This record gives sequence, C-alpha cells and structure tokens, in this order.
Amino acid sequence: MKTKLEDFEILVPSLDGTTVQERVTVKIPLVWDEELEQWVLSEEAHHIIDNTKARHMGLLLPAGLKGLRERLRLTQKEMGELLQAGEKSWTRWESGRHRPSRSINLLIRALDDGMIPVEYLRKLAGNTDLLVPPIPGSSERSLADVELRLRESGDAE
Amino acid sequence: MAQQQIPESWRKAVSAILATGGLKQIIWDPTGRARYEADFYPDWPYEVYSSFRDYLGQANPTGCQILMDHPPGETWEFLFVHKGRTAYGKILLTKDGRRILIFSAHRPLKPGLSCER
Repeated sequence: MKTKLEDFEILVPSLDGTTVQERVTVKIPLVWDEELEQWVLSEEAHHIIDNTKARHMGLLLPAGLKGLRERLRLTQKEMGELLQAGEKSWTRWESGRHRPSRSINLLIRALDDGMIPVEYLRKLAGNTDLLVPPIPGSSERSLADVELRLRESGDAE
Repeated sequence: MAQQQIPESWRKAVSAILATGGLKQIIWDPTGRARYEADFYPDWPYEVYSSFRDYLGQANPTGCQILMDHPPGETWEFLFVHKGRTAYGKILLTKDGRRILIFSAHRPLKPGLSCER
C-alpha cells in the first residue's frame, strides 16, 4: 500500500467555540486508494487529527477514558450510568468514535483527578431527587447541601 | 440547468453508510477534511454525517450530479445545513455501493451549484 506523509493544520476552538484558540500542524499519513484512484486520509490520519485536537482542547483521550474506567473497576455500562450519559455514549467516547463535550469532560477530569468521589456520583445517579434544582431565591446548592440531603435520605455513609 | 432530484437509491445507500460512522466505509479526501476543519473547527467529522443524513432524508432533496472520469462511482453535490449554517457537500458513492468518498463538507465557495452556473 502506497503511503505518504502530509502536513495538516488543526484549528483548536476557544472555550466558547467562536474563535480559533490555537493552530497546530501535524504530519498525517495519506494512503493511495486503488479503487478510488486518489490519495485519501487513512484511519490513522483521522485519529492523529482528532486526538491532537482533543488533547489541545483538554479532553481526555480514548486511552485515558479506558484507563480511568479500569482504575475504577467499572464496566462501560456502569460508567455510562455513573455519568448519566448512557452506555452508548461512554462506549463511543472510549473507542474514539465520538468525543465528550467540554462540559462532560470537566466532570470526567474531576473524577480522574480524584476531586469527585465515585460514591458521590453513584448516589446522584441512584437518587434523582438530588438533581432537583434549588428553589428560586434560595442560595445555590452547595456540596454541603447535597451531603445534608444524602444524610437526610439515609444514604450517606 | 436547474438542480435535479437526487435519486433515492443513491441517497439511501449514502445515508446507510453515513449511519455506520465507520472510517473503513467513509473515506475523506484530504482537502475536504482540511476545508471542513477550517470552516467548522469546533465540530468533529462525525457531526457532519448526521447533517448530511438530515438533508438526504428530506422529501425530494436536490443537487447536481458531477460527471467525472475518475474516481469511479456516482457523485452528487448539494447544499445542506450544518449547525444552522449553509454548507456545500460533495459525495461519491463507489460503484459497488459499499463506500463513500467525501470530497466536500464546507461553507459554499461559490454562489449556486455547478449545474446552475
């Protein structure tokens, strides 16, 4: 199979996605497709582009997501439930077919950094009452409020 | 010449391949991917697949057939909407109907399609 390397410019979006935050040039492998009679992007090229972009956006890469799940000793289904994203979404993120949004990535990073206990997310996932937004006019719900409600519901450790 | 209705058989075959999301069936032209990146940099490539499918799944979508010596297959260009913005798409369906080649998925460079000029 004939291959060649070519430069490819990746545009990394700003946090709100309205401007380009950074331009990164990477070398990507193109392959000669006999049937199509032209150079096309190889699968590896897509992975290089997408992973580079994801990394510069601060997203955890598929290997990192898998590593996190394995460290937590959870199945893909359990991980999807924990983040309330569903098994399908988690599987797609872990395989690199899709990427998590920046918002969900924040949660995943916090979990990865040990800033959010798994037990806490597990309780939220199993107790939808805790997800009810605070009453307008009241002070914003803090972690302490949630812990208090957990204790009141008798689920706290 | 005006735009023509894109044949249902082509639309169905292309949409089915796009639904797989697989990079073995969905091939990108390097320039096509670079232009997509330049125009829709906050998006991932798979996000345009659903926009393509939305357009091709409409009742009687129109476009222009592109006649080329190579690559072998049937190619159509059309205007569609991606994330609320008009975009230009150009896709080839291989002769055996198993793969597609995305030539274009970017903001239109010229007014109208080739068969209208």
